[in-house]
Amino acid sequence: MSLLNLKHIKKVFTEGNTNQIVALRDIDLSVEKGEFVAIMGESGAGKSTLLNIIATLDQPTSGTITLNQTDLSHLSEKDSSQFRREHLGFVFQSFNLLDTFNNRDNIFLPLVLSKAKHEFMIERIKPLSKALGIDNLLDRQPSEISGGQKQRIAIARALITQPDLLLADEPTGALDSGNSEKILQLFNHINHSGQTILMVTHSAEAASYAQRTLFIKDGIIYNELYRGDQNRSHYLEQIINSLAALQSREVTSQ
Amino acid sequence: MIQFKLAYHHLVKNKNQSLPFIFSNTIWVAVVYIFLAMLYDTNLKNISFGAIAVALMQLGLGFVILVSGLAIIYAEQTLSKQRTKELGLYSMLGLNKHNLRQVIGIENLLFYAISTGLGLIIGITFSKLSVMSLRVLLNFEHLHQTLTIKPIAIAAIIFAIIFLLLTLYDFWGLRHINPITLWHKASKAETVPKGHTFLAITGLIVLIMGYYISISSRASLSAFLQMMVAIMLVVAGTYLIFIIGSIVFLKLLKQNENYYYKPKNFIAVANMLFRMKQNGAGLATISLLCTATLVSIIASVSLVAGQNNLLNLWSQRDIQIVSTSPINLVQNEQITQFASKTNISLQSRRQMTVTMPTNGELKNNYFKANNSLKTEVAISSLDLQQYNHIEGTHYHLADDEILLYSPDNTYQGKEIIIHGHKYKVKPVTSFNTSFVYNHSTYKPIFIIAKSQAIAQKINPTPVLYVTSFNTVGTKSACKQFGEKLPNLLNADPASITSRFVIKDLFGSLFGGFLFIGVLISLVMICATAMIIYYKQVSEGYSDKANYAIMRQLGLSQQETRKAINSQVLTVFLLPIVGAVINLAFALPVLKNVLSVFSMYNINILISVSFICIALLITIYMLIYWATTAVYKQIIVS
Repeated sequence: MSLLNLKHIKKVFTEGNTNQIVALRDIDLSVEKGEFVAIMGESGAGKSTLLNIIATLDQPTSGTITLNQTDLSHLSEKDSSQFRREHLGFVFQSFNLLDTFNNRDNIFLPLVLSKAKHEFMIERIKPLSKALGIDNLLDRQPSEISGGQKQRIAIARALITQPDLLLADEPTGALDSGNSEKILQLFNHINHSGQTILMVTHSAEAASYAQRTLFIKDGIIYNELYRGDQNRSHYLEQIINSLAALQSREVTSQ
Repeated sequence: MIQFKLAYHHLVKNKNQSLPFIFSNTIWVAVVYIFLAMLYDTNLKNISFGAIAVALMQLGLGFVILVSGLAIIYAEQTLSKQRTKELGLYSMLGLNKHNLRQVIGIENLLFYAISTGLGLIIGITFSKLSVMSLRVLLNFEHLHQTLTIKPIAIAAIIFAIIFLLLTLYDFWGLRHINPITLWHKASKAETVPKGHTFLAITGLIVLIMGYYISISSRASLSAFLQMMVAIMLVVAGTYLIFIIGSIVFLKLLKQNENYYYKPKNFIAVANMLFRMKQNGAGLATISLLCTATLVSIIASVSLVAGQNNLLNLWSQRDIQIVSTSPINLVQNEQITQFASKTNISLQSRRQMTVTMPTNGELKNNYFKANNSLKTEVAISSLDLQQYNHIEGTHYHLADDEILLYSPDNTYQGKEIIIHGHKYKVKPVTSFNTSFVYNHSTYKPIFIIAKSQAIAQKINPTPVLYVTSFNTVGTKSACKQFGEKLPNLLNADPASITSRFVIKDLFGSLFGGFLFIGVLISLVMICATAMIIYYKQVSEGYSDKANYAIMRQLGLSQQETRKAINSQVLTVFLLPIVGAVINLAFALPVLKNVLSVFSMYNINILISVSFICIALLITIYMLIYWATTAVYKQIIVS
């Protein structure tokens, strides 16, 4: 059984009384435990909607979605909040660190929300801060550190609950290429230690770090690429070609 | 002009912050205007005891200006954080320091114009409406209000000065102009003020000094300046203590890991620490407004409640005639005839001769005659035989013994030294025919000596003849009798005291005080409500983004509510506690003022205080409850 399963997911937004916008038409998707999957697509393709549904921040109009055999399509607000903090980790493009907390407390936040003991938090943060190289940042404020450093803190925050699934929304979107590379290598490293990752991105470079890349367009999955045994630069080339094909199809269909 | 566009654009774009700011400024302008209108647009100074009311209003005005200035400067800090970020952007895009100053200046000018305009409109409407409605409610016809330009102009000038200071403060904030630092400053947490132990101690000293001055100074018009200084010190001290105190308090909470790392406390404490200075300043403002509300309502209610005290002091008999010559047979006949003409009968007539009061002060049982600012008492004397006759008592005295009657037993000494002679004092609690000569504000003290000769030795002044009786009949007849008597006897009105007439006079006089007191506390409580509302709304908008992030990370709506409740409840009692402490030190001043009126009654003062505090806490909780709902609405929506 896969970790994450989406079957015939459809999402329709209704604007006003009549104007209906179909964000997702029919999405079938499954992610195995330990996989690193990238989802690519242009803005407006439905990436964010898909991520919101997986993140239990939104519910599908129809279709089923399960994570670890839990049905996510009909969770109450309270249950979905609890589910998010116990089973999911989030990394955002804009880091979303809270400037009211120092970095350490930002990382502790999900554990505090789960009513964990302080000793337990300290125990969890030790190996994590070492692996992410953020030991010397913990006592500083988010406003005092660089973007790359902020994203490391955000990753630590996402991982401290040891989530079933790490959801990353354009994690390198606000970073320069050097920092992007470091973060993506970190993702690879985390993935190798067994963490399942689902990453939404529009950067082919970022997607090339994943084991599998899905291309989404007009609310359906258009194409799927497996990296297999290829090296990264080969895989990157394939992704770029696929993107080009996707765009040319658009041209021909017009 | 680009600077104007930028300023206007910033004001409109950040309406979540600029609207509450304008809103709170408007309230301050309105409150200051209402005080000014009471001072300049009413006939306040022409009604009896109006001079005291005017002095108290001036104190109130000084207080309000001080608090509003501080509150506006603190409120602007939230706003300028956002503005700093945009100024950083503008300076990156090539605006120089001078241009940035122009942008700030224009924006502050806009804020000033809008707030002052709206505030004056609201102030005029409110004071008109309240004067009209309170006149009807309290049946107080003596106070009139007209609309003149003077209070409007003064209010406009006062706030022009406050905004000018604000602008200079903003310019000063621009001194290290560097696009990058400006940009980063906006998202920075507030830092703990440097040397905060020093500031805390300063705050405490300033506060204690304020308390000391207010307790130690005698309540009189001459103490006006001292009172103003005391108010300034207390305001400054309260701000310092609240700002530093709340920081220390929150830091202690944060250090307690078992408390801090709980979902609701975690968010609440961090949010409050993040804007700690504003948090403390906001709480201080609320606390001071609560203090002002309490003081004004307690003072005015106590005056009304204490008027019987003064009435009894002036005369315990229905009619009391004090004259330098005895009432002759003709006058006696006139009184009797007039009584039967007005259908009343005269009963239990008493006559006595006492020495004319000598004003002076009593210090360590030593009486010193004087007429100065220190004068407190008026001593007169009579012989024992008269006292025993009037009171139906059988006291015996030695040559060096006296009976001493002081209203409310204010004289506690075992002996008294007058003109170098020491007398043993036996206090008596009743003296039916006591009076206040010429209705002066000095406390009467009656000394009853063994003989007329000793009485004369104690107070060597000409004698006064006091005739008193009770009147039985309808209330209006008794009042009419009292009103007409001075004319009939061709006597000075102050020498004839009629309880019925005085009671009516006091009713309208202290009704006036109650009127002003209710008006001021109404204004204060409205201002408190508005400031709490402002605090919740502005904090709501600044916390909204954080709560949105936490929702993504798994904070449910229910937990959000809990965190908000914790955030509100942790500090919400502090202002009330502060207000009660401030009040505890204001009460002695109040006691002094009431004593000047001879209306001090500890039981009344304490029960009135308790009722007012309970009332204020109720209203305060309602305001908090309602505004917290607004805050939640902003966060959750």
